[in-house]
Amino acid sequence: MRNRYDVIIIGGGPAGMAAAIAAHENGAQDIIILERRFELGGILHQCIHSGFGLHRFGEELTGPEYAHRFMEMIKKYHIEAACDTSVLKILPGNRILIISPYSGIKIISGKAVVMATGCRERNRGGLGISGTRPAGIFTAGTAQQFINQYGHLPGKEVVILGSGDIGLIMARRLMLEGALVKGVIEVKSFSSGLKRNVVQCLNDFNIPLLLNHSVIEIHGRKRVTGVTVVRMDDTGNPIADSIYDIPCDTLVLSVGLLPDHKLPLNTGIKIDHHTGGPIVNQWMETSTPGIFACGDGVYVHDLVDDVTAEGEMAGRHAALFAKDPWVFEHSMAAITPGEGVQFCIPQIMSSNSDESFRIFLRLEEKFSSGQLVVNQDGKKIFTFSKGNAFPGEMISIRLPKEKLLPPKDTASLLTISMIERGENK
Amino acid sequence: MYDIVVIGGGIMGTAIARELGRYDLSVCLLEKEVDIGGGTSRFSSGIVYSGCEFRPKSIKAQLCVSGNRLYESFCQELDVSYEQKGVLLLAYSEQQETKLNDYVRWGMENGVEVEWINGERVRRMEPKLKEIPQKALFAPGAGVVAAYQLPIALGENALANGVDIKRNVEVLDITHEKDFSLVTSEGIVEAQYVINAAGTDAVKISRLAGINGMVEDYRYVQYLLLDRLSDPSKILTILGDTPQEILRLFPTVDGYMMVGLWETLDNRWEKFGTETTQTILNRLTEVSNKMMDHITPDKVLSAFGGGYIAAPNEDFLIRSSLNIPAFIEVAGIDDAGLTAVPTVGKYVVHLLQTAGLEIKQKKYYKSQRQNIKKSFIDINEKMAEGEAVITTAEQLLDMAQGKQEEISEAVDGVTSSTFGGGPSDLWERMQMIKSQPSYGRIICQCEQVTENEVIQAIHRPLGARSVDGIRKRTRAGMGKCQGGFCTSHLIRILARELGLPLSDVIKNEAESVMLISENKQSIIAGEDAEHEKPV
Repeated sequence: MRNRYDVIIIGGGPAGMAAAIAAHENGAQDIIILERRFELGGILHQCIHSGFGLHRFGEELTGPEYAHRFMEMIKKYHIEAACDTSVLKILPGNRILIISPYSGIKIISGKAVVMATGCRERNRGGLGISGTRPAGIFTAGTAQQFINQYGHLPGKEVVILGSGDIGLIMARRLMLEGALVKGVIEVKSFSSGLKRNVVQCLNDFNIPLLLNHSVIEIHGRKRVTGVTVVRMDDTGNPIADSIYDIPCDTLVLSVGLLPDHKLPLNTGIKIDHHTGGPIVNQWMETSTPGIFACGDGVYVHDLVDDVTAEGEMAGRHAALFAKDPWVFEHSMAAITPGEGVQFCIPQIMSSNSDESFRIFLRLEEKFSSGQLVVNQDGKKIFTFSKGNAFPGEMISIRLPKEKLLPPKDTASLLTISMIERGENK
Repeated sequence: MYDIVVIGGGIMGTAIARELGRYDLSVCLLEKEVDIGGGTSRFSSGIVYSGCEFRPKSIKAQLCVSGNRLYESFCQELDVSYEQKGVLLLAYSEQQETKLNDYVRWGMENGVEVEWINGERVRRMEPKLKEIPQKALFAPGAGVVAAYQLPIALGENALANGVDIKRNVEVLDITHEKDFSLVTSEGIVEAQYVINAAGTDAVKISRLAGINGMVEDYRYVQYLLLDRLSDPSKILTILGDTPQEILRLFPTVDGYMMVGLWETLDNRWEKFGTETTQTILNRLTEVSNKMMDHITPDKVLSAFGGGYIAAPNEDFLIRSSLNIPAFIEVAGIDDAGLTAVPTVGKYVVHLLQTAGLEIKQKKYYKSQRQNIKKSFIDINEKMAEGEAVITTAEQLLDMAQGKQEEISEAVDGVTSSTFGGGPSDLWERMQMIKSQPSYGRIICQCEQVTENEVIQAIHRPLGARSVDGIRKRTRAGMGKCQGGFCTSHLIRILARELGLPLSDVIKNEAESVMLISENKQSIIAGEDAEHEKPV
């Protein structure tokens, strides 16, 4: 390991690997990937189901296969990867404080840094489920790791709370290993996972999807013995006489993923409270010049293919920054979610850009006939019809540069809203 | 034949065993669970009370007031974190003020520093408190301690001084003629004196010895553990409508925040062994947000609760039994028990002497105990959440208007403060990793616990045998993600170090297995199993 690098990449999952490859292809000489696990690839290694790479490679790969393609590229380009290495802190001047069993405690510095630190699972904490705290409560990712990497079954009779993609995939996986999944419980009136997963993972295995339901209590002293569930009415309030118990030995929580923002937060990088990740511009640069971010550490993506594309964007611009650093006096626009929109990426449009703007956004609720409206400083500049849309699938729009009002000395505020067209009449 | 058997390895049992370790006595501590400190002690708030809360001349007041004064040096000896914070008892109503006037009087009689302060001073102490009371009672002597670690530290120190500590041993029957004979799950144990420190089982244990008359006054406490937050800085206390109901919002010694509600729970207690209830969790979330804006539901990391038995007159029940003086009862221990830890042992020794025990100081007594050494510790670092999180469009626009910031912190080279607490010297840390590389592998990202600390927690005397056992000894899994990242590592390391199959690793109590079996085995049972087994 050297002391100085052109680009330092924190995290060797799909985003970090893509960033490293793109940085190399855009002229960065000395690149290092810092990875806390024993090998590159991140969470992909425990995702042994297929469905990865349809957009990227036009074929359906398993998680480990998808990871392998990038690991091969990294080997081919002789990009240095320091595994079993944790980042403790980012110090001023893009210096990274690391710890590992081999090199001990060390500081390395980079002309540019890419944070690809991924996300973590929401746990029981914020859900406010009462009851006991026995063994047998797992987040879906942990349960997946036990089955797919440890070869051990976390339970025999399972209830899954949350119908996000990992929950759906785990329902099928548990059934295939001989466990009985008694139901997938979803508080909303629709599944927050991809449609194909509802069909392939639940319907094909006759697993009931209990929409408008929630788990309110956990039972059991040593090991889970059951959960109490309740049905909700249209306004999200529990219906009193709909409470019943489901006996089970395991509760799997698939209640959402959150960007792991510990490192950027401790570094003083500005965090967007809508995404939970760092605020970035169209090149994935954070509020600190020369520090870029990408992947699920910025916001939680639906598809790894999108993570890869974003990693490449970050890696390319990190390489450019390493070659010729820039600092903006001020940016061109701030982009903020309006009505019906959970969050937008990027949040900042920096100046000096000739590209048309690509904006990703996630909706707050389901729309049967929605219309996207872009306002610039309160004035409607662009509308975009979007038929059927729901929060489970990200929306991407391209905002032609000529639609924007002429540039001025200060930044504009772009607000993006989604409305039902019926209401617009 | 032991001189003394202590039943129960909670905060009280281990504190008494540690004190008895000072003398030339043969002492044995019996704990029915896999690990010590796993019963009522789990629901300790970690608060070390100032002493103004207790009726003068009661056993509780005597033990707690003197205990509070000894706390800092006591924790230094045992290498357990303790911090003096001060308590603010807020008076919003006349009723509360009347009750707090009692505390002023009691405090003065108990010799505890306590004073009325006005709203303005409350505001200066707690600037983020939304509703400032007319006045509040301030007692600077209160503190917070790592309560989950205390029984372990006391147990380890007792063991080092020759006390036998037996885990997984349950007392099933007690007979008394000249001496005591205890029928346990592991055979007969004989002793001249017995100390009943069995927590919620204390009533049962006394009955086994033929002693009745313990009062059963059930109480319950429920907590929310909240994220690292900088406010409040004091232990905020609000007295409820009944004398038993109290709400406290307070920082923990580890930099997190907790809010708890203590109440009477009548006969519902049997049902609610260690459960939390929806009503109380909602109430705690609402109340803490009402007290301070930044405490929102998304700051909740975990919720837990548990029952305990209180004694009449809000006092501890620590006494030599009337009909069998050699049988000492240590019961009615509520949350204040933690404050009495430095002194309860001395009091019990005094009771034993009155009952006829002769004692002699040991020649070589080790008063010091060392905690597991960390190679890296960064818990002092405060997340700059307040400044770094952008919540409104205006803030975002402001950010876009201005020049993007550089990290402002000025650091010239690496100093010890770069690394937080722990060994002060960078070279020392490097040497630790060099000689034991597992010191360089972080297992718990939130609390920055390395693999070496986990291995030590398992192999040191009275070592961890469960996932929770490791948590309490190292703090792995006790941080923000509550074990999301490290639980699988802990299971793997426990299995490896103890030579167990993964499916035998437990969470805390016996049979609380984490994993059921290897894949494709659990459902295949009976006759079909043979030919369906993979070859």
